[in-house]
Amino acid sequence: MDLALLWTIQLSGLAAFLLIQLLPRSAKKIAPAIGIALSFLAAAASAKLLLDHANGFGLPVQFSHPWLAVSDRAVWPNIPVERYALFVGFLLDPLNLTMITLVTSISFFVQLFSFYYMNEDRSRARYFGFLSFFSFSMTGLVLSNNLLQTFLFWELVGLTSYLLIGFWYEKESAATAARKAFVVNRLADLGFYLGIILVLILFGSLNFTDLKSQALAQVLPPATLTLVGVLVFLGVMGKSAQFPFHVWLPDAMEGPTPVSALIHSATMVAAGVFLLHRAFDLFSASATTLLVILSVGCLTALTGAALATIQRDMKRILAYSTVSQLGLMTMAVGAGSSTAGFFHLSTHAYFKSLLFLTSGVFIHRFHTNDIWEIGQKGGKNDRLAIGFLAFGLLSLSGLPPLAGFFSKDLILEAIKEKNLFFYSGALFVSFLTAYYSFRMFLVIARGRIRREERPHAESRALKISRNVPLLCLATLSLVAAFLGMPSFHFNFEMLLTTAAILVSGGGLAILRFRDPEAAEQKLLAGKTFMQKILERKFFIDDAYEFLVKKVGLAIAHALNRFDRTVINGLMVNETSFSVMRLGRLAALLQNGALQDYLAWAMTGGVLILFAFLHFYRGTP
Amino acid sequence: MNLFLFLPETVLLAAIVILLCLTLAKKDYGTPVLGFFLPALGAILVLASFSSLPHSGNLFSNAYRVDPLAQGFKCLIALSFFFTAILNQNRLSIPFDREIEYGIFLLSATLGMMMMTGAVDLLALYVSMELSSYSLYLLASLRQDRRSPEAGVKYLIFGAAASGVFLWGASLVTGLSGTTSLLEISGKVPVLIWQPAFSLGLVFASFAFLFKLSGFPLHFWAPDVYESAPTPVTNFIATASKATAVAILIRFFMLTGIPGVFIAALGALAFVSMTLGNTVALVQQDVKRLLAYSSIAQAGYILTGLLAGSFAGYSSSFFYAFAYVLMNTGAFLVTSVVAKTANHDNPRLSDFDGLAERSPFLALLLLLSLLSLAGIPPLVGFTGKWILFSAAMDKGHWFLVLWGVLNSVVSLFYYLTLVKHAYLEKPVVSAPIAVSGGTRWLGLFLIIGLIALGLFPNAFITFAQQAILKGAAL
Repeated sequence: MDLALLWTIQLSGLAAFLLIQLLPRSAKKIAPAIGIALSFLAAAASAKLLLDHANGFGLPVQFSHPWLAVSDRAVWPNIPVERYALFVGFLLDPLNLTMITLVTSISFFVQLFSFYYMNEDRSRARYFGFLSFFSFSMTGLVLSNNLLQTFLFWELVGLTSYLLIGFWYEKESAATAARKAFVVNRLADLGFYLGIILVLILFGSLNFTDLKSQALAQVLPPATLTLVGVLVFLGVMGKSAQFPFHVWLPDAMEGPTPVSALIHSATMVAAGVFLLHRAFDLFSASATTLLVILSVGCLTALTGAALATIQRDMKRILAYSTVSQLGLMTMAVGAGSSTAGFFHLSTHAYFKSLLFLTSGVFIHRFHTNDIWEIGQKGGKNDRLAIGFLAFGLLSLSGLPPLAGFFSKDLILEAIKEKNLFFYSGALFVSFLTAYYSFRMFLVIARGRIRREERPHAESRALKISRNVPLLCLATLSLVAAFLGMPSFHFNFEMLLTTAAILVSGGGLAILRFRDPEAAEQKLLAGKTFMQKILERKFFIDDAYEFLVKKVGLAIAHALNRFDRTVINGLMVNETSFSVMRLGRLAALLQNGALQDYLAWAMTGGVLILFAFLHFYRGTP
Repeated sequence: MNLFLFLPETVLLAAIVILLCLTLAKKDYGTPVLGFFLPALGAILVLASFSSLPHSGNLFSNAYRVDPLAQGFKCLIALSFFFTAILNQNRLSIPFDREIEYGIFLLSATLGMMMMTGAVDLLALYVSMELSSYSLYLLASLRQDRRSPEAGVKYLIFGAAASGVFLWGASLVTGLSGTTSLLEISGKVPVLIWQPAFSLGLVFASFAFLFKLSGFPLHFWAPDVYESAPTPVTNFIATASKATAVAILIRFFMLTGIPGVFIAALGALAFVSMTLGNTVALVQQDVKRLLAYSSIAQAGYILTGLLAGSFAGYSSSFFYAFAYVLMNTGAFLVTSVVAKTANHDNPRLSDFDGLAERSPFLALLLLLSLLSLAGIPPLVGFTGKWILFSAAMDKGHWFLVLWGVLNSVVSLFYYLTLVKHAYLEKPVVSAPIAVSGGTRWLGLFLIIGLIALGLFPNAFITFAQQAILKGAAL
């Protein structure tokens, strides 16, 4: 039963993708129906799975199947496994049961919302096809029981992310953003891949059930453990947009907004944090690795939150906020509490996708991403959207008893136990979060309406496909916190701290943005030093540009010369030419004359005879 | 005697008798025989082979052995016959008045091959080998142009020379051991191996089978015959005949062991086979010739697995033989359809131009078959090569394995050249290609097989291991 459900979840995305691809051109109209129906099937199957295994009943379940045997000579001699093989299979435990429910449900809501959002797009079929393929890859990543299979699907989600960021590829900026995301991720995945190879060669197993910190520590020296952990963490840094690889995520907002909601906030970017939790023993086996993770997470959280405070583009604010929240989750893992990190992942997924879909509603109606313009065009008149926006933002800034409060609280507690320095960093991030959340809300909700745009007349189907996902996500983000709470205990000190931070952050924002018009005038009049730095994104993009354009190009020119003469000329071309020459030469053997053929064949036989007699030493 | 022990062979014998009677009839039954009788018979033969799979026993005074190894290869040969029978729909150069004879020789060749897989007596082996070989010589020279008989004669004389070598080796072995039964010889090997003449006999008896495997240096017939034979025949020679050679080599090596010096010699032959096949294929323009050289290279890969001399080596060779039949049939199926469309039975690379526009289905089949031949995951050719090379690695033949992997890179060049013609070049004629029903179903079956066996190979690998284990038990 479990296996059938798992296969249903795994394959429904692929089935939708294939069906949509195979549709004849005249029937492309029904592509959204296929995508929505099959993603509902997956969500229903995972809900059934969740009910079957409520409270972790009967878990973990593993379905593992040896795929390819690995020759003993290919692995390190003193590994504990006798005869080693690469496995394929599913592993179902409370962790990925939560994750799979999250992925399939959000994926369903986003597909539903996309029907409204992409209603007028001509290449809708392509869009729904890619979205379904993403669901397939993401479920594969979550359900996999070993690192290699995870890596394969990891690459597939990267590919779909690339395809969807560049969905409007006619737009120059979209194409560039897609390329940037792809290249940055490739760079990071190289580390991940090397890490996997190292684990396989030195440890002999890639199955998550075998990767236990004690077993690892027995076989590997501490330095190697750190190396492996950091290499795998590199992959996480790419996918979860950690500093300094975070630069691709804000640009990824060039994709359609529902895509940002699904891939670039809730699921794919969270895959890194998921992996941190999944293979936690691989990292926790070395204290140095954990420290690296903690510092990278802290840096990321601070950078993201700081940059979110000055953006005008609604989606970019949310993107930077995602970066900083991912940083917080990573910090929790680094502080040794991967449970807290994962809990925040699940609550964040719901309210952040809610926020993105809400921003989609604004963007779809007002045709702009600028929060000031949205305010001026009458953003506050869309009561429903404003309500959801407020709900999502309050959850994001951690107002009790909304979802964000519980999970953020757990993280802060975990970090506080570990290290006070990082704790203060995390508190500052929370402060900034409250600040930019209030700023965004105030600018949209208190804007003076100048040229109001009337909403288009919408059919009932469109209204349903717009409002139902929003409602469901809001409900889920409220419920998820209470259902998924790992361990509840009331911490009065924590409550006070968060309340103080919320009040001060929000208060500062109210002070500065209670009148958005005036604030904008002031902004245009002159910029402080800090604002300039923030606007240049801490010079990180400039640093990349310098690295790529100046240093990179100089190296590239040198390498180019080397490449043309030595690699291409001497090695590649000469090799291929000589292989070709060898081919032409050997083809001469086949001259069509039978007597020559026989002569060659017999020469071969005689040579063997000669070798045999020559080397025969009385032993066979 | 249990009928199941001899069921596939009985079916074949009955079919040959029926066809012989049909030749006596006044009316020409050629078209219905090739169009309906042979595919139907092929299906029956496949069913018969699979239903006799679990049976084992000895027949004909212990000269003929029925065990999972033999029965497994019989299924493979039956499948290959079935595929060829379906490919006959695209025949182009078989003369109309010779169609029934074509059917008879195809059947007798199949019969000979099936008997080879079961023969455990040197004489029975020899007789069945000649039965299949002579049928193939005739099939190869069936085309009515100047080059086809020439290729047939080359094939015949080359085969005769190989038979001579086999008989010489066999006579040495028989003379020293006093018996022609391989099972009895196998018991005497530990004593007789100290006699140089005996192990020399073993070496040369097995050396001759390289002719069937088309491995260096007995490969010279292959390019000429592949090029000049009708395409379905080429497919049959490339798949069934090669699978049989693998079966015989496994049986022979398993019963008698491989003398130490010969392992090194086989390694050298595998090395040259791979290198020669892949490099010469680079400069070919004729697709059938190109596939001939590719098959020489593949013989090198199979030899790498065989010379490991371990259970893993034998069972992975069995697996690879099966994979090879699937992917090669895929390539020849597309070639036969393209040949039929171009209306000449020697399609060149340029005849494949724009195949993807004219028939996306065929182009996909071609792509998958060729990538599988080159060993790209997740296709069955990759899995096959993986276990083949793993077995060789286990025995320390790392250099051959390294060379094999490097050779795969070289082979990618010519396989992808063909793919490039199919996908990137503009077609000269852009009319869509009509694919007949049987061909389409076969193509679909092959596509599914290539992917499914590549992803879930374990059931088959387990079967191959069981077959080898049971085949080794005396």
